Amino acid sequence: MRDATRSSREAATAPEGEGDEALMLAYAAGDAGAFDRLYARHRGGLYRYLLRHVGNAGLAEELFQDVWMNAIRARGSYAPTAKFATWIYTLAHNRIVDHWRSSGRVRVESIDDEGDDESRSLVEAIPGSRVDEPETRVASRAARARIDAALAQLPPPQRDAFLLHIESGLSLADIAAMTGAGEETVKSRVRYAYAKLRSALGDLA
Amino acid sequence: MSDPRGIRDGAVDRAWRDAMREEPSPQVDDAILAAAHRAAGARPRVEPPAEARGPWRWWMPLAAAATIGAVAVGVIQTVPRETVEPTVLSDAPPARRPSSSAAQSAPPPAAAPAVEAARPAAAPPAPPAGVAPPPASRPAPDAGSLKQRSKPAVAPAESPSAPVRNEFVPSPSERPAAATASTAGGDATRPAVAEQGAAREQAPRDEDAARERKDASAAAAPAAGANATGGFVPAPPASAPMPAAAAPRPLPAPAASGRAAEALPSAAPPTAAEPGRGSPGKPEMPSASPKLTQPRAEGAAASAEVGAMAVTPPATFIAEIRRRLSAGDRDGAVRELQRFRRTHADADARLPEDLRAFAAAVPR
Repeated sequence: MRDATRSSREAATAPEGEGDEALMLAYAAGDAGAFDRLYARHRGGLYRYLLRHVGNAGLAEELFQDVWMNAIRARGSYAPTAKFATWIYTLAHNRIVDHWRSSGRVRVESIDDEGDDESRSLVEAIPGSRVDEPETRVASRAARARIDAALAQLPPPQRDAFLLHIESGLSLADIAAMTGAGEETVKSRVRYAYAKLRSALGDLA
Repeated sequence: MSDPRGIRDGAVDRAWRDAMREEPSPQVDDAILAAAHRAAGARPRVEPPAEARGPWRWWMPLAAAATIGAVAVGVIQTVPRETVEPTVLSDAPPARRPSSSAAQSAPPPAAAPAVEAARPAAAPPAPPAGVAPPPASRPAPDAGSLKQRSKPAVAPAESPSAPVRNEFVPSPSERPAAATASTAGGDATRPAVAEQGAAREQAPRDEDAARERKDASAAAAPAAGANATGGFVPAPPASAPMPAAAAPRPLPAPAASGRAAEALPSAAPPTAAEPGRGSPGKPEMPSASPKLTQPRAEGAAASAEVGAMAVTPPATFIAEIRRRLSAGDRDGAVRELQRFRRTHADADARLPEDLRAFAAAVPR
């Protein structure tokens, strides 16, 4: 059942010739199918970006849904002045910031603390892939735990820059524009993040 | 922009892709897609920003009010023009008050009918090709010396700059004198011409004045009949710029011109009759005009009479008939009854019982 659902969603990603911006404009003009293809392209990366930040699947899904609903509501004002990925990840980035501010919790921030039991439990709570076979899922779950643990060691700016870079595929300039940091700063953050993850993953990398 | 390839670590990326495959739950997918489809079906389209929508709300009524106001102003500007002109035309011939230069440059056609004389001065009828429209002061082409003689009488006609209406409305005390003077003058043509101007300038609302004019015209009718063909009026009143147009047929006659030149002093004050005093703009000359208006030609009198009768109420006719009957003037009563009948179609029905027997004896 899940595989069937996923395959149908993957089919929506088939037409690659159409750009994200054109799809969003088509959706704003009333083409619901354009949104299906757009959603299929970005749902995974956006979800993982949120999940890596909040460390909780339920909360990540809640934020994920908020981001997409905001995109639906704002479809009329969407202007293709920038990449759609930049636009949707900016919505996600802002939603996370709002979440942190509104919750007042610093617990999520504590995920940076290596060796913290609570942060480990948060990492462990991250749901695994729903498409993998059981044995593969176990292996990748172990690998994911290690990656999450290594990611948790990164300072939030480095983690944010790294997640945006690896999940959205945005350029350093786009990330710099999104986060309000300089491009070189973003480049340094991403470079440091890579270095730390590589050393943390060891034999996985 | 820096290329991220220099930053990327292939091993980390591979490990990341292998391990990180989380995806949102199908319920979340379904919820989002359903919301997207509903939104696409609803088509909320592009909403203008608040700052654009806000002014639109008050701008529309403002624009509508401005449009209505502009239309109203336009209608107000056009309606009076359309309503005033018919009033002027129906009331009396338009008061032609040209300046002295305008009167000299555009003399009215001599043979124009009285109806055309009532047209606005802006569109005077073109004179016939064969008949050059001589100015009212021009007695005859072959009377060069006569022209000189009639010059003093002509001059007032070319000086209509004096206030026209005031000078043409004779005071009640002047009317009998005017009638007497015109009758004594014996020239009916010139007064008839002058009367045309008077009929134009003075709206014949006053029934007394109309009645008196009729009486005067009846008294002067024989004289007018005698002089109409032989009399020419080279000197219309100063306040009547179109007397020549109203003249039945001005025939050049040196004797008539001479009579006109002689008659004018008899009707006008002595100062106005002097040849040298007929200079344009002299206020004395128009004062003689009311006295010249009483004798008239039949056509001119009829037009003035119709104008007067048009506003005469039945009670006035009835009273006048009674008065004449009581005075023994049966002919006058008959004339009055006939005028009453011409003016009011139901004149007999309006008559009181005591006059119906009299009316029955008068054929329609």
